[in-house]
Amino acid sequence: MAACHEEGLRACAVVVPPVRSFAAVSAATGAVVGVAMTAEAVPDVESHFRALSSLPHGTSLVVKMGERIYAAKFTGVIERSGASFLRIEYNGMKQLLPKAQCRRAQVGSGGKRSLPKRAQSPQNPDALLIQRALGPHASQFLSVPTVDAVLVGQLSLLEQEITSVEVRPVGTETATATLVDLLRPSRLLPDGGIPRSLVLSDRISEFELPVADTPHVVVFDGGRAFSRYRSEFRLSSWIAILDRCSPTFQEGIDVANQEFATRRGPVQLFDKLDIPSGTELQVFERVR
Amino acid sequence: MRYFDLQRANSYYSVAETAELSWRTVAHPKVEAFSRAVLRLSRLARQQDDDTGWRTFLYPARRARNILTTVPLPFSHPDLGVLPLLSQLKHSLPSLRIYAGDDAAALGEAIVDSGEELIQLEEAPLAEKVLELASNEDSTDCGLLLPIAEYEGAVSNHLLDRVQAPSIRVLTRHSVIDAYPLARLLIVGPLYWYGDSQFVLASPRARKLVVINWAWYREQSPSKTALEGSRGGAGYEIHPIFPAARTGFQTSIDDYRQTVDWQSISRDLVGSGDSEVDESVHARAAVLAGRQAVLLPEDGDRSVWLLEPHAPLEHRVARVDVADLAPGHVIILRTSGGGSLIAPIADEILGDDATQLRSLQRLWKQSLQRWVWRQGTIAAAAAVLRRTGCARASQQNLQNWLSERSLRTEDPGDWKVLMEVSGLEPQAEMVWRAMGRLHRAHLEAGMSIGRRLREMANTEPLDALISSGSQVFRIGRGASLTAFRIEGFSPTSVRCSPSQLLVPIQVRDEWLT
Repeated sequence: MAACHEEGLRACAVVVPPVRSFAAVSAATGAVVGVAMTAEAVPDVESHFRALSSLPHGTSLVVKMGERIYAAKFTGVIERSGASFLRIEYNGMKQLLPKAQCRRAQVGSGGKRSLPKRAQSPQNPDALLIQRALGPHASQFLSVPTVDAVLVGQLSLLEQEITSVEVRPVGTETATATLVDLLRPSRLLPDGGIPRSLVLSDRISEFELPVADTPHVVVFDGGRAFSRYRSEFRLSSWIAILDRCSPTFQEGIDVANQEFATRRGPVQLFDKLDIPSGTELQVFERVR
Repeated sequence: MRYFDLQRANSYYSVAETAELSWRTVAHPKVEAFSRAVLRLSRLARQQDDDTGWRTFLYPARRARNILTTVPLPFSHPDLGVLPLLSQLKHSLPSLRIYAGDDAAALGEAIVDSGEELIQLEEAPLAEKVLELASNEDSTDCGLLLPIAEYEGAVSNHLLDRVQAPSIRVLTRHSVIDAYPLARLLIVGPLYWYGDSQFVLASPRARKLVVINWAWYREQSPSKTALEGSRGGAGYEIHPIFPAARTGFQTSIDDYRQTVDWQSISRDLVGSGDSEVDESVHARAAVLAGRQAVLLPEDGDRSVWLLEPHAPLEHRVARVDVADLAPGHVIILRTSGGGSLIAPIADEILGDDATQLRSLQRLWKQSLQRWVWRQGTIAAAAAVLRRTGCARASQQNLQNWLSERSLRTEDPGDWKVLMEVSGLEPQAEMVWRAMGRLHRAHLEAGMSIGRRLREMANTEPLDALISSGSQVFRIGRGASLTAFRIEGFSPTSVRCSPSQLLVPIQVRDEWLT
């Protein structure tokens, strides 16, 4: 789904499993890994420069310089000899970043202060997990803050599922890490960690993405999240997990059928996928 | 929604793959006669454009029918609570005759006569069928699902008391969600009782699901899918066959009325309280476990304490917006003293100063209220305030300022204008500071209550709450809090006095059919 989103498809997959446990967290983790492995990570230069130029002065940025990531601040745009530059401050220095290289900068916080200057030892379980899962994409995964996936639901439940289960790369016996290392939601990372996703409570009325980005996939855990938050992510693809035991189940079903009724068309995304017994799946291309 | 570890989640998937659904019927001529009379009266009432005059008879009659046909207890069992309903029906017969005519009154008499005859009987055909089915199974791992949650305890005790009774775990639609997969679950039907709890079938908690129906119930084969154009679906298999329709007297989902009389419940809740239009607020009635009901605020401060018995300790108690509540959630209400939890604790914190501060709170609210009345309407008063420089004076905000739950405005500029119009300009600064003290005490009280609730929820066993839907907590000095499971919400809101919010009251049986 993440890869198809990159090609312009806005899909919606609604899953009704016998029990919701870990379904939303697994889907969001899969989306993060999928985007990291398939998506074009760099945005269009013109639009990215325009977006950065319009930021208020003092906005926190993350800038990649060489092999290192720095926490920086945006201090304006200047013109020199007919060329445009971003003015940024990082590591105690002022720097002009040419427009053509503006993709090194992303809105967000984090960077060198909490990142190791050398690559993590492959013996480190979380590094090993990322390396095994992402292969050649592993270093990029830990260098650019993005919001590839958003997970919306009951926060306490999602956090428990994300942090309580340990996973390990295939072929290893002892090295384990939690899903935090792959999902990388900003709220569960240590200060300065590079986020790849956002976990949102379905009870808040306002939120802000930590990085100016359009999430590839938004996973709604439950009818309430699906009903209330889908309009906030019209540009993303959606996965909705509807728990049969939840009081908002019917609300979620109604929303899904309403979106299905106005769908753009069918999608063959999961046609070859075996659906576990007791699970219902609805997939379609959404109207943008 | 609750946390299940991977092992438990896997066990539910495993059951979902292999579950079998079957039906067993039970018959009893006197129950059938009683049900038939109630149904005929119900169908007759549906032919009326306005059945208001019928309700005082029809609703208790339906409730009596629902109890007698779904609770596996002897008909004479005192915990059934049918006797008072029949007395009420008898009392209402003359008015039924006036409102509905002779035909309806004749049916009413038949209902009373057959009902009175039934409750003399020691027989318990439903319980006998349950025991027969449970004893047929080699495994003792058997559950019984009741559609009316409040009888869970009485049925459980009755089955335990029976000699040679096998172990049967009595469950409700709330407690079955957390049940570990059973070998067999007996479901007191028909299935349309569980129309809003689709998981009973679609996410089964047992390998064998057996629906026990009265012989005159006619059911549709349940749908395995809920989504349009979907693949897959619920995994159970109907085995051996779907039951054939019976000839003669039959009822179906079209006759099903699990109506809660929200109009009457809301009227009981609002009652004769001090509901001056100018200080009333919007509220929504909710029915709680234990036949209680409460008005939840829709305006102003809408936060309540939520208790999630299955959540991890640190998340078990939370302050939430009532807009986020749903049936099945558990809220905590004060059940001794007034509805507000915060104010009495804040007064404790303030000690001797509380009296003076509360009188200042009353002073500015009463002064403002008098001024608002002189303007004619809330809208007119808000418009005057805005013109005078009170930028946030919307109708909603003004109602909040008039309510007992607010202490002062957020903005000192708005406050100044309110004090001017209320004739309290000289005391404005002093009252502002006093309300600031109250505000801080309220914040402290909120944190204190949160701590106490968390301590109680984390240390006291919550078995009563899980099984019956309510549990009382003592918080010292004679005060008590009660955690109530929400059973449903009124589809419409009402206006009430702020003092009537969050005060649970007992609901009359007849309004819960």
